Amino acid sequence: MLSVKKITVEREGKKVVNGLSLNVRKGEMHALMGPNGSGKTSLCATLLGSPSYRIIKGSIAFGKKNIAKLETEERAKQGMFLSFQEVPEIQGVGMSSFLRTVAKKQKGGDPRAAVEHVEKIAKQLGLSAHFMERFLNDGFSGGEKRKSEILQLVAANPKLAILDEIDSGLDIDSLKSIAAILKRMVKKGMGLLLVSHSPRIIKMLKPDYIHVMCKGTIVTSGGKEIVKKLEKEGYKSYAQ
Amino acid sequence: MPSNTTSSTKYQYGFHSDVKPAYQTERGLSREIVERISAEKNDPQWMRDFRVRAFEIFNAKKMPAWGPDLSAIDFGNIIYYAKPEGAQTREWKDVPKDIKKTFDKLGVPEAERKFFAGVGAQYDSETVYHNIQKNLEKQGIIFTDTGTALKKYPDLFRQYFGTVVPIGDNKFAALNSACWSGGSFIYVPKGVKVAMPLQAYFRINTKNIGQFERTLIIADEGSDVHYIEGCTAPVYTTDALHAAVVEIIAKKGSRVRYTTIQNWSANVYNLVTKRARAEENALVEWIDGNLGSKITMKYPSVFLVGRGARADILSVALAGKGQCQDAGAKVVHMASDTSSNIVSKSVAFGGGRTAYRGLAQVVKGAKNAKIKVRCDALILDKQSRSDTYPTMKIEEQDTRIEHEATVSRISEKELFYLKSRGFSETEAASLVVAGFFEPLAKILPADYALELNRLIEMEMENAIG
Repeated sequence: MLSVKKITVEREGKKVVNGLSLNVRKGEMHALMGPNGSGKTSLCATLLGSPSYRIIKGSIAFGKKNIAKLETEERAKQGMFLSFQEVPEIQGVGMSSFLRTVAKKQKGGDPRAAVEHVEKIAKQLGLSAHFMERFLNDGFSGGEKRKSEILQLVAANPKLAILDEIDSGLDIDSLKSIAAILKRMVKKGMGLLLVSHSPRIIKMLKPDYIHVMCKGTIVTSGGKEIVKKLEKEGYKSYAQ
Repeated sequence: MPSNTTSSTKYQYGFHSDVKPAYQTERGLSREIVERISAEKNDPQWMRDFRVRAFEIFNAKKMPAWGPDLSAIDFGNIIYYAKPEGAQTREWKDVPKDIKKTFDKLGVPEAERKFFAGVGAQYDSETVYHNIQKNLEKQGIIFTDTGTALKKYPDLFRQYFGTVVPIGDNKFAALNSACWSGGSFIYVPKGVKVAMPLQAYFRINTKNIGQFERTLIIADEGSDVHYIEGCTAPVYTTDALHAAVVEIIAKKGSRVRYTTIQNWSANVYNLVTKRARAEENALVEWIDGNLGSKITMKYPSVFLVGRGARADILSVALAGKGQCQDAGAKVVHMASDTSSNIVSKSVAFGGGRTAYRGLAQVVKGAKNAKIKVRCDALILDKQSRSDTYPTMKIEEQDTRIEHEATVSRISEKELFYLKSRGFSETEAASLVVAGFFEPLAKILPADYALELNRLIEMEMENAIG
């Protein structure tokens, strides 16, 4: 579904991703781990077409299409979703109406069913009706911001979800709820690329593939043994 | 947005109906023309004298030495009075067909069905359609056009007319005083609470016509009324001038809310004097939304003359290409325990300019006054600009003042975030701007809120799309 071939990406003239390749197929769960500054967030932003990044080599395909030149909103409409580490606060835009609009943007979806589903998920995440009337990300705590991203993910119901540090700032109960939600979505066929520098959520979700990213590229890929090694030795052993 | 074409399709209400005025004066203004307007309107002698005096003051007064450039206004090339065909009517079926067609385009009848308590719709310089619901009359509420009020309620009219905005307050108030016609007159008796908002629609129609409506609202002790006016105007090739005067008298313990959404076409000079007098424990709320126009200068004011009087002013402005919204508020605290709350929100895009110009004054002896001012500006691009000119004149030490001002832009981060949710750039900008105006939208009736959002979207499409 997602096929990244040897991409090199620049930001302000500086290489941030260097010859990276990655394939995510339908219903697969991938984890991308790596130390701070290894280029994970740059890769995520590039996949969704952020104007701050420039692909100078390689290709990105989604489905069968080359999407490297596609506008961000078109990628979203094709079924790609990115959750952000740093989210903007948008005054005056109510959560529930925003989620409704996000649901409507999706091709071939049923917005009404999507909204009902979002409301159910909000309850599972312990979010009150009052929360749904607050403005988008406005004054949200770290945990609330993550939950807001999850609600948007559920509303968008994408083919591929790229979640950047979705576990940061979450308490263990919320993390468990989110893990359960993600598992269900993957089971229904969603591809998942989980980006994190901490093993906590990786251990909980048990992804099919684990990749370690250092200095802009994937240095090793494998299974759960990688998490064990990381916990023992840290990223140093990969950073050579 | 093209400002100088009649065939523009970009401006939703930029159409023109071929309604011939039944009577109109020639271009320009002279004492003789003022007297002719007065004669045409069958004014009593005192009003004729008032108009002539106002004309002399208008002639003597200089243009404002501050604010936006008004030098392009050609006073000699304006028609100061035009009367459309058809006399005053009260039944919708009696409204002339052409005029009906225009109102249809504006959606007036539709809005009426939903929540009208009364309709006073101004067409050119004259009110042609006026529908007062029976229950308003039963409660002793007067809601009519200002010209009719002068004839039907001469004593009440004379007692209050020109008492809040004096004849020589400023050049444009003097101009209005000289050639006013149309506008709404409202009187709410003691203790009467008007359950539904009273509404009027205004638009400028005849080419090159100045519109000088005059509105007077008197809320007697303990009464409660909400008045709403909405404006749309067709696009014309020459500059149009709108110089209205609105006076509100809020007596002891009353509450008056005055809501305006103006969407003048991009060639209109919109220079309006709006002022209220709030007596003991009265509350006056100005809600003022300014979209469109070439230059708007408008600073809704409240004089807090009675103990415990309150003012609540929300001024919202959107300025696009070639537009300047110089808006704000004035509060003058003249009694103790008075409070005022001013919120200004403006958006500049496509090279537009917005300014907040405000005055907060506390006179000596007005103790324990509270003033809160908040100005938020949103600037969408590098070509656009926003300025803040707050003036404070505090002559009493025992005063509490809060002043907050923010300027923000839509960041690339915000845009990327919203685009990643499937919003196009235009949709993303519209969403942010609509969100910015949420404090206005949430207090508007649903129809107006929807229309506001549509207008914002349209403006953003023109600017970005």
